[in-house]
Amino acid sequence: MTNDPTLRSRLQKAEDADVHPSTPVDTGPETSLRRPGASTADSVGMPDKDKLVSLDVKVPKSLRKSVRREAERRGVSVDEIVAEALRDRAQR
Amino acid sequence: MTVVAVLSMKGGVGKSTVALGLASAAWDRDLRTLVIDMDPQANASMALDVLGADFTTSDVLADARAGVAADAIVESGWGPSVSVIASERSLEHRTSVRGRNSSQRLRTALATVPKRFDLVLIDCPPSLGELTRNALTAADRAVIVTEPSHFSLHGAAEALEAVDVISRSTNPRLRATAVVVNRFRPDDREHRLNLERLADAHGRLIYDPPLPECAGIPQSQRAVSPIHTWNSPGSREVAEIMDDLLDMLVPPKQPEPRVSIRRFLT
Repeated sequence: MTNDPTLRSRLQKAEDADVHPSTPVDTGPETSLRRPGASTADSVGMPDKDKLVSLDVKVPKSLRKSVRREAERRGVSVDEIVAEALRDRAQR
Repeated sequence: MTVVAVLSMKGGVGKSTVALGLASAAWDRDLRTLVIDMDPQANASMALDVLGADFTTSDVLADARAGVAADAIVESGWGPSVSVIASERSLEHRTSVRGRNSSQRLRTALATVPKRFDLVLIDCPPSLGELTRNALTAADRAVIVTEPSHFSLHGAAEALEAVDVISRSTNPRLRATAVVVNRFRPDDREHRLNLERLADAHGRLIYDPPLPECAGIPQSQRAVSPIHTWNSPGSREVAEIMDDLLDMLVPPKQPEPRVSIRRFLT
């Protein structure tokens, strides 16, 4: 980034400059708050499956301990707890 | 160099009128002034005769590279001392948050541009959304405009709260300087009552005197002329109020003390 106008390209018209502000914007399919597979209706069509990959991260031991405790309490795996937290973060 | 945001939550209270009034006072004092029109209605751009400029605040905020705002500056119809970054209706596309530091896009795009001017005036839209957040993040001073009506009192309080929020988050330099009461009619009991209520709520921030209703304001705006050139008693009163408000924002330079050369000759 530079303030020197000789070192940067000039300002361009914004791509939407000619689009009327009240033109409806297509934001894609509506996203549901629920996760796929969470209701009976989802069993009719299979929920979308994503390929699972490994993610190696270093976290404090105390954090791993609390995540393990939560996984045990909820009857799910540690991977599911971490994936859920990351999914929430990515969708924010 | 002082960067002033002129704002209000409510529309039609006279934000552009106050911004243009201050620009007119600065024009009269021959200050190098930049008006940044952040209102998609582009009323200030219209009154400064720059409607249809090649680049606008919409393009500046879409790009937001450091210093890129310099490319959008044009000379106003008032002459070379008042420059403008014009607005256009597509500025509405910038009202939504765009990623992290979204409210700092104007400040980044301006970079060192304000240093080229004695006064930068930002005319905000009638909302406290993303455009106003950008204006407040780039400003040092905030002037709130209101009317002496029941609903406007609430709008003034909301605008002051917005200034407080921004000064505690993205811009610690920001200070509310004045609440200007516009279209005041002294013979209207309701106006007097609401002015008292404003003074009770915000004390010394209420700028005294309030701006009177004045036919010369819309006439001068239509004629693309500073209010200081409009010759009517009402216009002169408004011009004097604007001079005093400008003095508060940009104190006039004291004349250099004269040194008598006689002392050195004898």
